[in-house]
Amino acid sequence: MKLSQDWLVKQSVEQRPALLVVLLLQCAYIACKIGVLWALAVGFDALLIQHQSLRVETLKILLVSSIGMSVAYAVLAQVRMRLKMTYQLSIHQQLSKVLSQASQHQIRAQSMYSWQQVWLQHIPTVANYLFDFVVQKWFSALVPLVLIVIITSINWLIGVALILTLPLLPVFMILVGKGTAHRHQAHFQALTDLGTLFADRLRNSKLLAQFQQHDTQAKILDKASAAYNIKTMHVLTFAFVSSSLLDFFSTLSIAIIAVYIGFSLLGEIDFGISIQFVDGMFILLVVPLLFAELKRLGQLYHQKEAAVAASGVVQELMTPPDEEKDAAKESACRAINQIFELMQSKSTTRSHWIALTGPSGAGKTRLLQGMLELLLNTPLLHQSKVAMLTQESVILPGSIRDNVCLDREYPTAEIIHVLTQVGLAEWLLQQPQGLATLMGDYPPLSGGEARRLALARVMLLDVDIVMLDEPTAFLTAQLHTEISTLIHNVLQDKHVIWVSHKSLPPTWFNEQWRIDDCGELSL
Amino acid sequence: MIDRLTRPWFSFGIGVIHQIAGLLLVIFATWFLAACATATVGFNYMLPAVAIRALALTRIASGYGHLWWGHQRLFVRLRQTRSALFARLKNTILTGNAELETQLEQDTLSVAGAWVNWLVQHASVVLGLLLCQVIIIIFTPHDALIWGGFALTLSLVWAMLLWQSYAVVRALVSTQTALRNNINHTLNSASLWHLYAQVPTINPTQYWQVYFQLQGQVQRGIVFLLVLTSAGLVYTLTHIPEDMLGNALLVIPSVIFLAAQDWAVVGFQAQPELLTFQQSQQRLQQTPGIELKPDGNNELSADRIQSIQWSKISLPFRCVTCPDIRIKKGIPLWITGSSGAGKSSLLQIMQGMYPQYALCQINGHQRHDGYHNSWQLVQQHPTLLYTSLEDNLRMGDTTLTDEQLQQMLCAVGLNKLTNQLNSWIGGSARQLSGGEIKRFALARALLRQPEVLLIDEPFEGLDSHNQMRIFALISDYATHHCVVIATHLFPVNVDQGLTLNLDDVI
Repeated sequence: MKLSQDWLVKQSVEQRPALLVVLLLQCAYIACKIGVLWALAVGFDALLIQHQSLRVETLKILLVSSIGMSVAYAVLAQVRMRLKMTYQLSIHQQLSKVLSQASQHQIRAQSMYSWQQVWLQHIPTVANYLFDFVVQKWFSALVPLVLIVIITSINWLIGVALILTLPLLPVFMILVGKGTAHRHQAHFQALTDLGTLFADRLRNSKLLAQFQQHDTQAKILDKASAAYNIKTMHVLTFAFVSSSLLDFFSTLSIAIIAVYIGFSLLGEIDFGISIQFVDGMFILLVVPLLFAELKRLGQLYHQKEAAVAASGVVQELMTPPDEEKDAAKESACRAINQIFELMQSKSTTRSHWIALTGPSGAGKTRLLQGMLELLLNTPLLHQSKVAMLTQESVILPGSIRDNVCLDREYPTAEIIHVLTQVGLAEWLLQQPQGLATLMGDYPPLSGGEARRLALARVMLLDVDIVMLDEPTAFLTAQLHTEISTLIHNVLQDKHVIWVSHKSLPPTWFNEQWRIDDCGELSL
Repeated sequence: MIDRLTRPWFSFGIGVIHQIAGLLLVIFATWFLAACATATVGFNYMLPAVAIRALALTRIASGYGHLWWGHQRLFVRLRQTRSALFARLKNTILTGNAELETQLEQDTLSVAGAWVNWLVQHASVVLGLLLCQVIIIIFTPHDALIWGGFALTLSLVWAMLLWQSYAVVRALVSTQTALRNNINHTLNSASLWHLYAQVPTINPTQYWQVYFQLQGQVQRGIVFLLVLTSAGLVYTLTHIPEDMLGNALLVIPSVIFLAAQDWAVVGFQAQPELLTFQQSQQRLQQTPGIELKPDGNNELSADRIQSIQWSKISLPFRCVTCPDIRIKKGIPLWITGSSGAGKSSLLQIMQGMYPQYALCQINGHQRHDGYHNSWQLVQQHPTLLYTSLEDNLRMGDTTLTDEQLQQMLCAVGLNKLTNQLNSWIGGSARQLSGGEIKRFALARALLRQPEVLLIDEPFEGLDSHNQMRIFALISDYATHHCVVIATHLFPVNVDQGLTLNLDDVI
């Protein structure tokens, strides 16, 4: 919570020049609006008191302010959107950079849905918060101050009355904040709780059908909804009071000022200062502005809540995890050193095969991932090319060619050669459009065939080291033998590190590595 | 009484009163000031002053009332919408992607909220336009046409922008789906990134552009409103008939145009709300799912099942036909094959989830089609209901005693849960590990004592000790019932007996 709020503050500091531009445009808009109101008051004065039509100067002010107001609003809207877009893209770029260096482990740590929410929801939410809420926060403090100065210079009595309420303004701000926060909390808590229950029952549609529990659960849901409704309304009854306060003050001030100025004009009440019609009219027209911006801040308040939640997610993704000096990383370093020694020493044959074993949960996958990261992110090591085959074979929705080549280009003959080597030649012939056949969401591949395709992918790349992380997991014993023999045959001339739970012929390996329960690696 | 107050028209009316009272207050207060300035002797100032205070109080009270009843209404609608959706989805298995349920939950929220967020706002704008027309016709008839023209133009622009926004919203939905797929595919292939020359990146630009395009529509509408009202303001101030000069009523049209800048804005601001509402409504009506047709044949459980035969089986998404399958009480059938071979689909077909994919005969003669909900299928990745542990276990049979539940938990090796029957599991509550959920689901299924038990991958993710325990439990159950087990791995030293290898079929 603290971290994410710090991050938000940092963002608003970094974006300050852009935010000031937006603020300036908002000020231009409100200045023009005040101009319109002034011209209107002067116009009414001419028409009502002096029985004349509008003077040319008044008309000029009215026209210029009106046009200025529309133009300022249009520019403001455009600029605000442009800035938001630029900001969102910059966050996206930072995030992409972090992502490209993230480990698979980090990516798997979140569900696909929460990843999607980052771009669909969280990044735009932070942008909205900065360019709507933060600007509005400054603006709603600025406008009342300026207006009170103007009003005081016209009529000090009303000015003083408003100044006396001035200390109330921070109180308003807090009330708006707290009131809305309280309301949002109660409101959202209830909705979230109910929503969780509802979504859970929808998610378990299979279970409910199987146990014929639908009607029972429908009753439970309905009862829970009713109970929540009553409870929440009780909480909200009080929370609404604080959010109605602003409406209360703004409405009341219009009524009181109208009656006070009206009676002063009639001479019914006299506090020793006379008031001109034009001034009175202007004050009446301008007073709603005093509260309008605060009200708008209250309306935008939900953005703050959402932004804190969103920034928590984004900030966590953007800050790379601490350089933990854990055992896994150290082991990875040692393992890599060992491999390089082997590669350089003349005594080793051209290829070297290592079996890595250890109980489940000891961190074999972590070790391989750590080695892969080190090899990819250390420039010196990068020259030796490395590939890894994981437990699950990923099939992309693109064509077979895309699946094998990824973003590189290879001659067709070479691709077909490799696919033949992994035993997919016959399968390829069955595909309607050959290499151009799209795999789609339901690729026409059996578990074994998918492994072969993944193997072909690695073979096309000219790598020195291949790391295998249980490439035959989820296969039957028979297929395990078939696929591992194939791997053994095609990767003969590479350096291989092979993690497997299933048995492999020991004769294939030059060396055995072991990880014990504590994650300690013995070479 | 309370019931009547939660009726839609009440919250609706109070919301409209709130808006209208605000509008009237501004008009009346300005007129009052002008009237005071131009007052002749005998001007009754007390009555308007009281009226102003009354309007202010009405506005304040109705403002609070609108908040209160609006939310009350929102909650009532939410309850109705969800109950209706849930009732419609009886015996339907949702087939959408993982976020479908969350999406549906949001959709019910937006449908329920349409009342407060959209309908009241738009009704207030329309009523405001009409009310102003009436006021102008009565007090300053010379401006009646200009206001009428303004109201008409505004409505037309409003409708036109809404019409245009439809296309944008369609684009928004399609670019959103594209972005979702883009993110899924990019991140799912994370294990391949190191093989790429250039690490693939996510591209949200298009979706964001359309998103801002929609916002731009709203802003364009507001700018149009500003220009139109400003023109109206200038016109009304410069076209005052000679005989109106000095008459306090002449302020009315100008103030109405000025005030329209504030209250008519919501007509444009609430537009995206309307479009979201429509999208949500559509999604709620066309929820993707498979409707199960229950066999409705429960008397069979009395006439014990001795054997079942499935014939003419075809596996979805695989263009192969499967040999007929016949199982007998006392002899479990093992279906084996690598992941992706179709074991899970086959089990679902056996339970009758897709009656079109197989013919089912029981005890050699009776045809028995439809979804057999008295049989139990333990999923490969079972789910828990977000409720208490005991309610989860008693789903099939509410008469089970605590002792029976505890006994069954011990049988599957979940002894540590036996003293926590009241605690909640699933959802955001206590999480069980994958292996624990598997065993829990098996316990839940066994408690129902089904005639036919179908189990998907019961050994995956269990250590060898638990594998043996579960194997013993299943074997024991299989001696008196029909049991089918789909698995790619076998606990050591297992006599497999009757086996079907799907790798050979494909």
